[in-house]
Amino acid sequence: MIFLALRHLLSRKKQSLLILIGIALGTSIFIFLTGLQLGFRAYMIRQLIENDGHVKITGRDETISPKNIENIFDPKQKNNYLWVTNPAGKRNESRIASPFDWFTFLSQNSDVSGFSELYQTQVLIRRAGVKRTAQLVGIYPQRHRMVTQLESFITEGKLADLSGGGPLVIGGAELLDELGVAVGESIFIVGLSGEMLPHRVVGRFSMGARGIDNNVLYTHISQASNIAGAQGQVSQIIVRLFDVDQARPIADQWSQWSVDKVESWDQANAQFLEVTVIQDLTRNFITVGIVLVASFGIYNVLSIIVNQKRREIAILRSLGYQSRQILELFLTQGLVLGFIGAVLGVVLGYLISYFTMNYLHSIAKSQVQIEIDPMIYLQGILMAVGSSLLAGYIPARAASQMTPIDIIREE
Amino acid sequence: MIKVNSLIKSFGHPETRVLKNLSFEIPQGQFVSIWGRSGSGKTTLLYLLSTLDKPTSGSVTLNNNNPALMNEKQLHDFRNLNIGFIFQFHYLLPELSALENVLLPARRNNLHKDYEPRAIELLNEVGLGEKTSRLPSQLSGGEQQRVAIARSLIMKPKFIFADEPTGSLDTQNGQKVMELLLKAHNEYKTTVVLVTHEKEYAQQAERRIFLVDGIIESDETKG
Repeated sequence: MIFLALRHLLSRKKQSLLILIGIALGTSIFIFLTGLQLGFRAYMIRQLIENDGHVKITGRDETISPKNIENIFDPKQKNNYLWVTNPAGKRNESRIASPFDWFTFLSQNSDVSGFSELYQTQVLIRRAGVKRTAQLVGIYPQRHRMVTQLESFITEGKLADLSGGGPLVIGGAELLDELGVAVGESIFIVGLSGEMLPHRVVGRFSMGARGIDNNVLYTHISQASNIAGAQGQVSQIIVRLFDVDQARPIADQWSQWSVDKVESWDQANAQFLEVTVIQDLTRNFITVGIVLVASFGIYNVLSIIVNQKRREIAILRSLGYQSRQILELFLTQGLVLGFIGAVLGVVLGYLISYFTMNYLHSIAKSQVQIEIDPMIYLQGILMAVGSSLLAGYIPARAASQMTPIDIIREE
Repeated sequence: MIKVNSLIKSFGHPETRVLKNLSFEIPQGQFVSIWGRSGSGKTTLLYLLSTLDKPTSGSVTLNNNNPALMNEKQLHDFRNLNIGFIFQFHYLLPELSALENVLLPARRNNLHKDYEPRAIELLNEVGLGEKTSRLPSQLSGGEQQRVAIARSLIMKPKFIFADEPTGSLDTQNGQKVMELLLKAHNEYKTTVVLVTHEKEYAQQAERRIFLVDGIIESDETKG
C-alpha cells in the first residue's frame, strides 16, 4: 500500500508539507531542549564531582542531647548525677576527629584512587580601602590536583605555585576584581590577634560558579591552619574513587563506623539533584505537549483526508481491497509523515544544538555542553513516529470500517 | 451463473420493501440489462447481485458461491478475481494515471507488473493507447468511463456489473461505452449485468429485465 499512500500524500503537497513541518519542529525542539537540559545537568554534576571529589569527609553535625554527653562519665556513677537543665543545641564540628586514622585507612583502601585533606576557615581580607570576608581554603597543591579539577579553572598562574611555601594565595576572579588586585600584587589577611598578614596573589581561577569565584582564596594548608591557630587540624578530606558510581554505597558504609560526617557527592548536593527531578518533570511535560500537538495535527489532517477520500475507499473496497488494506493505506500515510518529519526534526535539532553550543562556547564563553546523545535522537524519532501512528490509527480505522455500499448510497 | 431466489430487500423503519420476492437466473455469458424508472429498485438489485449489499431475505449465488456466507477475506478475494464494476461516475482515483487506475485490482495482490501488458492492451482496445499516463483530470468524461471499463476487465472477471455507465455521458460517448461492453462480452464471454433507465441502451442487451416497484414486470430474451 506504500505506493498508494505516497500518491495520496504527494497529491496534497501543501497539507503534507504542513504536517511535516509540525512534526519536524516538534522533534527538533524536543531534541534541543532535552540535549540542553541533560548537557547542563551533566556539566553541573561534573563540576560538583570534579571540584568536591566523589566522597567528602567533614566533622559531624550533631544535635546535643544528654545521651551524647553522658558517655564521658563513669557508667558506674550513672545514678549519682542529675541534669538540672538538659544539654541542648547543635554541635557543628569544623574539624575531623582523627584525620591520621583516615589517612592510613584511605591510603590502604583499594576503592580509593586518591585523597587530599584541606583546612578551611573564614578570614577578613583588606586591600587598600576595601575590607571583606572570604573563605580561605588550605590545601596540599600536589595532592589536591589529583582529586579535583581546580587546576583546569586557573586562568593565571599554576596550582603548584602555592607549594613554594610562604604567604601565597590563588584567588577567585570575582573576589580579586572586587579587591582590585592583580596576580603578583598583595592583599592583607587579618590574623587571629588582629595583625595584618600580607599575602602575595600568585594566581586566579574562574569556575563559573559565583559563590566560589566571589568568595574563595586557596593557600597552602600549613598557611591556613597557622592563620587560624589550628596547626595539624583538618576540616575536610576529599576522596576520589576509581568508580564514581560506587560513591554512595561507599560513603554509607564508611559513615556507619565513623564519628565524622561522610557524604557522597550526590548526598552532599541532594538539593541540586532534586532540582533535576523537577527539570525532568518539566521536560516530560513539554514532550507530552509536543506529542499531543503533533498527534492532534496529524489526526485532524488525516480525518479530513479520509472524509475527502470516501469515494476512493468505496472504489478500492469494490475492487477487492480488504478493510485491513484500507487501514494500512492511511496508517502508512501517518507513518511516512511521522518518519520523514522525525528525520527532518533530528537534522534540525542537531543543527540547532550545534550552533547553540558554538555560540555558548565561542561568544558566551560558557562550558555548558548540549548533549548529542544518540539515545535522545532515537527517543525523538520514536516519539514522532509513535505519535503519528497513534494519531493516524483513529481516522485509518474509521476508513477501514466504511463499506462501499454505504459510501455509494451517501453519494 | 447467477441464481436469485426469493430475494427481498427492505430499508428503514417503518420498513420499505424495495425488492419484492424476486427469483430468476442469469446463465454464464449472458448480457442482461435491468431497466426501469427511478425508484424501481434496479440499482438495489445490482448491488445485491454484485456482492456489495446483503439481502434482507432470500439469496443470491454466483457460480454457486453465496456472498452472504463468506467471511471478509473470501468476499474480497471473490470480488477481486470474479467481478468487474463500472459505476455511473467512473470512480477513478484522481492521483493515479489511466494505466495505474486500470492496474488497481491487480495491485491488490502485487501483480501489477505482470498485468501491465494486459492493461496497456485494454487501454488500446478502448481507444486510449496514447493516453495511458494521463491523470483522470486530463481526460474527458467519456474517456474516464472507458478507463473504468478497462479496469473492470483487467482481472478477466466472470461477471461485470455496470450501474448506469452511460448516465453521465452524451449520446455519442454513451454509445461508445455500450459498444465496448458488448465487445468485452463477446470477446471474453463475460456475464454482463447492465442497469440503465434508458431504453435504447437496455434494448441492445441479449436479455432485458424490466423492473417496476421492485417486481419484474417483464423478462425478455432476444430471439
